Amino acid sequence: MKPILACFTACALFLFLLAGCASTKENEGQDPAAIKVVMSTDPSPAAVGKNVHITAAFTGLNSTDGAEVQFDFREPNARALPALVNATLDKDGTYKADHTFKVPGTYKVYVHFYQDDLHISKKSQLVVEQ
Amino acid sequence: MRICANRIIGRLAFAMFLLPVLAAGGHASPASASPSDTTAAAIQQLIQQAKDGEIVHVPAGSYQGRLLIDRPITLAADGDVTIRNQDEAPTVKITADGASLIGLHIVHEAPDKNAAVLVASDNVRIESQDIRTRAYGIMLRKANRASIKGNRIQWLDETATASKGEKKEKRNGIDLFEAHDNAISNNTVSNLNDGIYQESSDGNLVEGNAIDHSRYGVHCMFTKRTIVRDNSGYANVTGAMIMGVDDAVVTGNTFTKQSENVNSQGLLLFDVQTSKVEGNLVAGNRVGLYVEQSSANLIANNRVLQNFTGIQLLDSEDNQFTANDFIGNVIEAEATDSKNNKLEGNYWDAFRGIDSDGDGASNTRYNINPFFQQLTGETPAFQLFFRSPGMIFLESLFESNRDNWAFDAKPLMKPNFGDNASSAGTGRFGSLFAAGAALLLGSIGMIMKFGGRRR
Repeated sequence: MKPILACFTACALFLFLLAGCASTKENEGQDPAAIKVVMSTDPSPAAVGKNVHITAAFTGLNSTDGAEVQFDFREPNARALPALVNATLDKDGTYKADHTFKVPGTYKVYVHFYQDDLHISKKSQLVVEQ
Repeated sequence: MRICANRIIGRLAFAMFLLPVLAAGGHASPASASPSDTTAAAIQQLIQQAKDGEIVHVPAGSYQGRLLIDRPITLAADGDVTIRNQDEAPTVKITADGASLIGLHIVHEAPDKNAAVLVASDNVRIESQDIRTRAYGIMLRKANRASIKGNRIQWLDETATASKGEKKEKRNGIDLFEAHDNAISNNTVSNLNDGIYQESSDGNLVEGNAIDHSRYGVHCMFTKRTIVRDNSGYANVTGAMIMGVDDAVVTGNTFTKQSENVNSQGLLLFDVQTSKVEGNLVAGNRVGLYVEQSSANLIANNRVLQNFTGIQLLDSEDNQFTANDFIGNVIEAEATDSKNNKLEGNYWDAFRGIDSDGDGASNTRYNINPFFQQLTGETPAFQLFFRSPGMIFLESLFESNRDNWAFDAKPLMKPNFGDNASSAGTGRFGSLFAAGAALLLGSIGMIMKFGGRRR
């Protein structure tokens, strides 16, 4: 009887541990598809030659520990070099940066999220007026 | 008078001895350094003295310092040659069109943003280097039509952790920026950030390289007419990351054994248009093929084996998936906000179809049920019930939003890749059978020993 009870207890403990590990968010891989980014500017719309505050609000992240975020601005001229601007984490949980645009037009903006081995990019657009 | 004559004869004899020696020194080809020198300055002097097109042989030995190749010469190792640099600057910098570097061991010790070899000119050949670096391995900046072939690049430190427990920042093995029409072939890169990285660089061929224990094996950003062919990657986070790319050809690559990293992906396509992804093998990843914000691509003849998710689509349209084998994946396919993607003629090992006309394709389409995917997305622990009888039953009852399910209009009855694909499935079945048999025998043994009725 005792060996059976010991075996049953061991199996039950094992299942509890397994369920506990499986439900811990930190142990799960970050699903890129779960991440959404909403980008906003102040002023809106952005204007050439003026300092623009850019904000990226993330949802769907497992954690932001040790994360770095970078804005990658691509001018309407596809051959121009990109402007890479590092963002900082604000108290409200958004990532912010300042940038001055020199050329008007519709920019492709890639928001790069780096965390250890993880690199996730999200693409959006930004209109800069004259 | 006699003494004077003797002196004259002696001086003439000495001069006659010197003349051939001087003549030999003036017309020496190829040039060579003295093996007793230990600084790179001796090699640098030979580079400066060499004629255009000449081969400069470096004798075996260890040299401290840096080199600048600003002449169109070939610098070749004659034996075991090591160039060791501790300065925060490129160990070997090439600024001359048509220069070559062959067969050196290069140790770049400074953990900076420089490279062991920096190429800033055209038509350069870098072959058979053995590079150990704490920075970049080979860097191309505005360098076109180079041949980077047969080099071995690895991280200098065995661990990436500094004494204070901080993680050191690794750099890329081969790094291209604004470098076009180059051939990167048959190189081996180990334990770096990205094995081969290229940005804003067009027309490059990346072929036959092997990358391991790095972040991305091959990483392409904002490139055109890129060919990524016949490369292999294992134990990386992602086999190939293709981003912001048009007209790429990604074919014949093998990206496997990346399951150690929970974020692993075989092939990642982000913002990729009009490209071909054909004949690749992706196995043992979290996601085999990840496609986001990409359109008008052809993804065909790939083997997607034993991944948690075979293919994941996000915000992607008008892509064509055909003649792929999806075998042993927990979740076959996942599609979110993706329209007009054509899945046809693929093999799905979870599907049992009916081929009434004998054309090799099922006459019923395969609707990819998202039930298990949605269930485990909310509660990952339910993965324990994968392919269990109860789970299969529940899946059969799930009919919500069926019109929005991904489907294959003509799924194949057999894998495209015959023995290789079936052996992957057989191998998995064999291990499952062995585990099940062991559990059964163990249960029977316990019942016989402890479960008998006591008298």
